[in-house]
Amino acid sequence: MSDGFNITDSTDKQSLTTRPDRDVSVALVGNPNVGKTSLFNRLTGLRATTANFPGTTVEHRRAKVKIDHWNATLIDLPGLYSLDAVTPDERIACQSLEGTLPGQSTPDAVLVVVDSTNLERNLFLVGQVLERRRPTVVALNMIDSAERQGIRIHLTKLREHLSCPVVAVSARTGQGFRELTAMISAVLSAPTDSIPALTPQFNSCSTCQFSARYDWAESVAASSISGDATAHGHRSEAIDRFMMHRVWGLGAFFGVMLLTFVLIFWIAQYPMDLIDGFFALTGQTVGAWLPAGDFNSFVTDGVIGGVGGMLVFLPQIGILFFLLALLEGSGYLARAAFVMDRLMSQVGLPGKAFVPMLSAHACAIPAIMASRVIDDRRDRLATILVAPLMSCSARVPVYAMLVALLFPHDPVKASLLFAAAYVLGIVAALLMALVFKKTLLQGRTKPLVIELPPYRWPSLRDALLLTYDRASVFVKNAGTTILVISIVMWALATYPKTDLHSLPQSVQDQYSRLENSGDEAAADRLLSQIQLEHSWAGQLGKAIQPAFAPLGFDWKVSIGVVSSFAAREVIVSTLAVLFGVGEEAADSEGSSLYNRLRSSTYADGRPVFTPAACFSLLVFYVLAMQCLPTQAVTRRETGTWKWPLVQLGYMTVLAYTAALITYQSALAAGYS
Amino acid sequence: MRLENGQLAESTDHPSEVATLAELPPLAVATVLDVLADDDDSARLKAMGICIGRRVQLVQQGDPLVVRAIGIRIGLSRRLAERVLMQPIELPAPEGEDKTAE
Repeated sequence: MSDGFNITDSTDKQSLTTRPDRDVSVALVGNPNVGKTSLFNRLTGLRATTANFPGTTVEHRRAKVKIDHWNATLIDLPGLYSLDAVTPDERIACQSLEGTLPGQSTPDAVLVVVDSTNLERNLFLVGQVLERRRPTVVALNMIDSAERQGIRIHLTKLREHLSCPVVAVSARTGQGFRELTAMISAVLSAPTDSIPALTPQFNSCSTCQFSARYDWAESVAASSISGDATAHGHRSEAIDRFMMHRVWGLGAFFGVMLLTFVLIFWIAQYPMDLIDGFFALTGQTVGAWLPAGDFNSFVTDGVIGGVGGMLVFLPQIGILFFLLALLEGSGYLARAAFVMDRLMSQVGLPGKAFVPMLSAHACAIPAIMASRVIDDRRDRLATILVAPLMSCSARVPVYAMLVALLFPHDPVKASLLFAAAYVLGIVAALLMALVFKKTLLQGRTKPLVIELPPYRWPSLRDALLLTYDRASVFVKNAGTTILVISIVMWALATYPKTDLHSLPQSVQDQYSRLENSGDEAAADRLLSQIQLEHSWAGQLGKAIQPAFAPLGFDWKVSIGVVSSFAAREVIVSTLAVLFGVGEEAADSEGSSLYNRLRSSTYADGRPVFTPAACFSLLVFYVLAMQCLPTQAVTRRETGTWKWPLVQLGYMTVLAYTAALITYQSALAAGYS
Repeated sequence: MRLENGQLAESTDHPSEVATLAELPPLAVATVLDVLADDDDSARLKAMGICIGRRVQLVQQGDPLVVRAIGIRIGLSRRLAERVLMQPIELPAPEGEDKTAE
């Protein structure tokens, strides 16, 4: 594309105003922690979209913006320390700069974002970019921080050294952005053959190349900076003496994480209630308006129920990403990875795996998305595989039901059991991570190498943009899957239709007795109970029951397990329908459901929900996969169906075996 | 961990002073003599500024430990720091003073 440039300087000014709009691409390159994304956000705002580089799972953000007369596509490349292509991110960034990625042309200009408070380090990458002799602009970001610290950068000297435009900017305040866009426009207009080669050149052997570049960076920085460049970082070091202390650091970490989770669950309940109420109301309104029948049920239960069931998790996911973005922006997440590294390495995972694992307690989907921070492929895969073992919020209603069945009058035992379910999930996840690192994903954990950036006030704007971005990814990916699943599950539970007249005479009598006594609601409940029992889901549950019998599940529980294959929380409403208390009972207090479950018996009079069966069901629900949206995200993040299948396979075997052991040993111990 | 590999000690001028990065006392500044990690890890270290001829300061001992190189602080696994050979050039500096920046 750039080959088309043949405008000379003399005609430049004039042609700028008359030339038609041109499509160009500008790549943003920079070290991590230099505010590159902030700068990108300031240039693009809400116009940015997230996409994977074709054929990879490496993400980047891009946006179309107008720069003078250019229709520029800004591409935010992954943050990197050098162009020597060690990590997948660096390889992709390199290929993207060189235009060797399939379907991507060479960028028409490169914007290198640099941390003004640490010029020497950042110049290393600047040197590597300049060696490629592309039209380049260097943005000295955080210039306000540098000035506050008494660092003075002589722009003219720096321009001379680098032979390219250098602009001082602050993505935080917007300072210098007018000049920045003008410079980008100028280098796009300039002929590419006028770009001088950088001197000196580093063509020597690869071992000394680094050192030579660092020497060059050091000398350029030394001659372009005056003032005290050593003063900064003292405050951060003082904070870190506590945050990274062997003992206090761990305490601070657990404190921060506890606070994060309290905030997530506490704040999220309000929007969740609103969403729940909104979809219940919409379902009722639409249900009353549409003629009764299959289509009505399809729209209200299948579509509206499905969309509502998905969106109800959005507040937690959004708040989780927002808080993580704030922690990241403040610089704390790097400390968290540092503090947890030694503990996590005991199970073969890096310290960075801890935040995804913790996020999985809200929902495995954002956790798997957050595992991108882990550099090593095997470490990341192991984290993704075990994340769904953590007790997510969809398990809470199931735990609540089983705990209430087991210990209705003993809040202490009930809370202990609840906590034990969480501990079981954590222990299982850590053990399975160890197993995977010893078998499928062999290899030592990558040793930690992590920059500890200075603490900064996080940018609210960046955090909100990231939250918006992650939430849209969730709705687009998980959302569509969940919608399709809930429609399929609706069909399985609705068809084939049961005809009242084909039922045994005794049932028909019971139905007409209820109807005649004026108890329409009870008659409806009876009908839906029979309907579900005879549906495909019901038939499947009955067919599969012999396999679940050694775990202590009767046919109704088996139907519940089958119906919650795609989304585990469904078992509560399925049981409510099957036990004839109606779906509404599952949403309200639940006590009518619990009473009915407690009093249900097998044909020979044995109770169904014995303590042994409840324990077994609880263990099963802690460990089973039962979440198709998570599997869809695993597929997206790993790029193949292999890993979601491995996930489903090992978790099913684990859940079945553990529930079997639980039930049989509980029986042996006399809990029947 | 002292040098186990005699061959590497020979390649330096002051074999007696050579220590690994993990052995430096807190706040000591030293020059990198060699990085013995595998290619991937040494490339990561180089990109961070821990490569032959560079000055590195040990900020905090432990596992992982903290070093300072070219103006930033870096958290580093101890087992990786044990693969970096250093030649001390200064005694421990007064606390808080940045010796790696010029």
